[in-house]
Amino acid sequence: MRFVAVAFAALMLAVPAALASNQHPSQSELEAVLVCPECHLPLDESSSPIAQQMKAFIRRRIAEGATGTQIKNELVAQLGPAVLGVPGKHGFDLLAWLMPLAGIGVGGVLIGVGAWTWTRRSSDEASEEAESADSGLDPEQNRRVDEELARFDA
Amino acid sequence: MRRVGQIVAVAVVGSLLALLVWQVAHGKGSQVAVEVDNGNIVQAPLWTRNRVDTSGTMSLASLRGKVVVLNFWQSYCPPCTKEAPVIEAGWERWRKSGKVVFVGVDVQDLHGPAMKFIRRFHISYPIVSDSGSLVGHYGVTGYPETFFVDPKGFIVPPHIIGEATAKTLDEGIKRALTNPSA
Repeated sequence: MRFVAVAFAALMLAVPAALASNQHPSQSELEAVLVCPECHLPLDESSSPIAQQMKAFIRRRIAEGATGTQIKNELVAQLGPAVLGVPGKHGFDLLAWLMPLAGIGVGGVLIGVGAWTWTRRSSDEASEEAESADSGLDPEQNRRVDEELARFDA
Repeated sequence: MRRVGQIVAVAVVGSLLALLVWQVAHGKGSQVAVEVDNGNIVQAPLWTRNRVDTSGTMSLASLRGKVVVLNFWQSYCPPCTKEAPVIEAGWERWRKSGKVVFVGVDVQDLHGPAMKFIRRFHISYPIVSDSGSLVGHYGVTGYPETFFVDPKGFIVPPHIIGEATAKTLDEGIKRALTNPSA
C-alpha cells in the first residue's frame, strides 16, 4: 500500500515536471533527443553542418518561446522523421516496432508454459512422495511391492 | 520440448536474416544512378514535393513533355555553392527554348538557410524540398548531383556527380532532347 502511495506521489510530481520541460525546453534537452539526419548521431554529439544549422534553429525557436513539441514538429516538417531517431512505421523498419512486442508475447507464453509444467511436475512429485510416506516405504520399495502385487493379480 | 524451442529459435533467426538479405538486395533506391552511369536509360522515379522558393507543390509528372534538369543540392555543401551560378546561368540559357525546365532539389535542409542560398545566388528556377527519400529513389550519393529527364520521363546519361559545368549541362540537355524515347 505504501509502495502504491509513493509511486502515485512520484507520478504526480513527474507529470508537471515533464509538462514544464516541454513548455520551456532547454537546448541540451532537445539536442539529446534529436538526431543529425546526415550522420545519424545525436545532435549533441554531431558537428556536421546540418547539425550546426539545427542547433541554431533550436536556439532561435527556444528564444522565441516555442515548446519542445513545436520545435520537434518543425524540424520533422523540414528535414523528415529521421531527425527523431526512431525507425519508420512501414516496410522493413516496421520490424523494429514489432519484434520487441513479439518477443514480449513469446516470452510470456514460454514463462506460462514453463510455470505450468513446473507446477504440474511438483504436484506429481508431491503426490508420489505422499504416497510413499503413507506406506512407510521409499519409492523404490514401493515400486517393487507394486510389481510383486501385480504378479499375484496376474 | 527443448528441441522444439531450439528449432523455433533457429527458424526465427534464419527467417529474419533472410528478410534482411532480401531487403538489402531489393531495397529501392540506389539502382537508378548506377543504371544511368552504365549508359542505360531508366524510367525516372515520380515525385511530388513542396516548393521551397514559393508555396505549393510541384510534381515531375506535371513537367512531362519537357526536358527536366534535376539538380540535387544542399545549402551547407561547399561544392553546391560553387556550382549554383553555373546552374542558374544554364537555366537562363535554356529557359527561352521552352523545352527545358531546371528543378533544384534541396535535400535535408532547413527552410531559412535554403532561402538564403536561393537569394544569394539569385536562383530563378523552381526549387523543391526533399527530406531524403528522393535521394534514395534516385541513388544520389553526394552533393551536388544532376540528372537529365527526357520529355517522356526517362533519365538519360550522363548523370553528373559533383559540380556541373556549362559544357556538361549543355551535353546532357542535348542528349535528353534527342533521346530516341522522346
